Amino acid sequence: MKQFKWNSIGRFVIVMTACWVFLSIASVSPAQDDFDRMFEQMMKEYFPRDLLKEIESIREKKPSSEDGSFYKSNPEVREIRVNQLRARRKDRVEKQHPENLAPFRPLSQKLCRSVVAVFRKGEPKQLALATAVSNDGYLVTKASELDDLKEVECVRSNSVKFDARVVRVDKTNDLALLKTDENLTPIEMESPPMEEGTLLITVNNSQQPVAIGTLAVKPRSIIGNNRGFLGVEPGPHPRGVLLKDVTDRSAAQRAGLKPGDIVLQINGVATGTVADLVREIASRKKGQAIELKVERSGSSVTIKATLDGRMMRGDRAARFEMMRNLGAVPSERHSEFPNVIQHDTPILPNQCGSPIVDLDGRVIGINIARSGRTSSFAIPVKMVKRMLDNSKQ
Amino acid sequence: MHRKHLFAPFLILLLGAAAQCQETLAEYRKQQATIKKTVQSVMPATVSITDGIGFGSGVVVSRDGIILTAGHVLTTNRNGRNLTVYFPDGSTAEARPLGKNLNVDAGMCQLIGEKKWPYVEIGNSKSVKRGDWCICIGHSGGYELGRTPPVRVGKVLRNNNVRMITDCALIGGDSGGPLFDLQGKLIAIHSSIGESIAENRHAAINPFLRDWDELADGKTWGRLGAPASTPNERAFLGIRMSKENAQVELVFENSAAAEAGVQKGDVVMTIDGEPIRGARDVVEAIQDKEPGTQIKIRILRGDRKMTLTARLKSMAELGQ
Repeated sequence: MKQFKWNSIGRFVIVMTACWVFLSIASVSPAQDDFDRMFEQMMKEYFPRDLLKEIESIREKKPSSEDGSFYKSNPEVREIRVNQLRARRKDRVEKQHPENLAPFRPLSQKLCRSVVAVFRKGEPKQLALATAVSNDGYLVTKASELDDLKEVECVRSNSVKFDARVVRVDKTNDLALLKTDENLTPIEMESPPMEEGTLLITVNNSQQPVAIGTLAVKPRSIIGNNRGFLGVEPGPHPRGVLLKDVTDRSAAQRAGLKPGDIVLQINGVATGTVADLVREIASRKKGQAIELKVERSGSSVTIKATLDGRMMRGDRAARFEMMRNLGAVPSERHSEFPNVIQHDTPILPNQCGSPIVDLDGRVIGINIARSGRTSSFAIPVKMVKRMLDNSKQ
Repeated sequence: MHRKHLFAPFLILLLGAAAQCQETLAEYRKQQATIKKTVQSVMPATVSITDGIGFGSGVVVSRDGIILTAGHVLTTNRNGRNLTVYFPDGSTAEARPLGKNLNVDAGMCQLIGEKKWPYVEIGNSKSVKRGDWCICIGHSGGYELGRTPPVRVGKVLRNNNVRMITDCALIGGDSGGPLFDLQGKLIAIHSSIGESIAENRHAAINPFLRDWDELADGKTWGRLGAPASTPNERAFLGIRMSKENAQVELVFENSAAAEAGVQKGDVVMTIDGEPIRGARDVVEAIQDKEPGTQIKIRILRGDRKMTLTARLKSMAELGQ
């Protein structure tokens, strides 16, 4: 019975109880240490060795939540991962299995005429996809994937190749406008209603859909992930917000805030609930100064604080970054967009610039980034239209 | 003429396929309408939970404010301090941590305050089948002001009524969040992830119901990462196979494989129609099956193909 090697079940099953993420900066409590030790143990037991190495290297780099992707400085690893993802065998039941994508073919067959693959001239590696947005030869694509090229080669669904010039780059939205003399079928740019749960199909320059996804979050700004962070643990209080704890070395501690303080106002705005406090802090950026009116042992004091940026450090950052990279390769630029739809379609970084379409064939937006395991971002067509109109003026 | 004949049936086939696609597309539209409606009704009860150290998710399941979450979301909070709960509309509340069963990664908390809390209905995870569609919500990456919890829709890939695997991608912060059937009944709680985006583990809801009284009493037991069942309860086929190819290296005596007639050197092609390329596929094909289940194994022996029927056995049966 001893040779029964069913332990391998455990080995391949990558159990990871890491969905519990550590975002706030709190002093390391004993409980935290225990949890970390347990986590380490689990990682050693369950993770494949190459992934562990990757985690180690991420840890050495000590990335923060703002400074983006691990792959930025490791293009070779990125390439390997992309190929692994592309080759991943899918369960027949899985929603992304080619057989299950077949019902959506009528949509991709129609739309693929508006999409081209973008290459560096004469090279086989696809940089991105681009979508035709006008009948006079304009296309949009993801700017940061173009390697600063001034001219690119495009390939249509019928394999016809043509050249296009990069005529404008909108850095804010990371959109690049391409111009060609080729006659292209543009997408329609109405703005269909957007609701969470809408099924979305990503289309490239082939008849087969790339993948399906779900509208996860309605359009919103994701600028200011580097938003203000005070470093307190707030709790409700009849007269304001009670500070249950103040984080070591945080903006709050430097300013002299103490556990037990009751925050009454921030910059003159009453903080009656925890949400008020969170809003007042999070709506400000790192480095901004605030003035807090605080009740301390019965008397009112005014305290000035300079906000930190919210970031993860050390192991927490490594853990989250590692999770972000599990089963996905994020785009190099995947944050700081003024208006994006969040969806869960698994696309590769070089599939950005493609349109996403709803079940009625209406284009919802243009994919602008893969941001990690669970999410991709798309620029709503309304924004694309605005950029196009501005460029043509 | 000859060409035309060949072409005609082909054309009919193509048209038929197109018509079928349109039909399924119409079905998807109907399903989407249900999903959107369900999302609106269950989202208000999907909360973010923090103890000041980490962020997880949870879901309110009763008018008086019982929250179900993952057991590991409550593990950093050993001194029993109250948790801060964020609702998707930005409102906050406090909750008292109750019990947790770490074996299945189940946890429970109680919202504090006399209020009629928004809540969802609990379903039955036993009736959830492979291939069922499901809706996944959670505060990915922790509570984010001005963002509603991201919605994902996917399919159940495996379910043994203890753990459920779906292709709804999860990440840190989602832990403890709810998995619903299309009608909005709670069927599982997000627990952990594997390397693939199709490897997302959820704690099935029935064990929560089984353990309800202990959880409500504040009891803590079990350990994280424990197998969903003991070897004595698990089904075994009884072959050893290399990772790289599907050739049988060893058949264990008295095992299901031995009784079915599998021999050393056989190449396993499929199990219940699922292609087998190595040991991993075999494990995947049988791991959620109960002992006693019959499976069909298609093998290649020399140049002969044959289908064998095996009745899976538990470790306990094997030992006899």
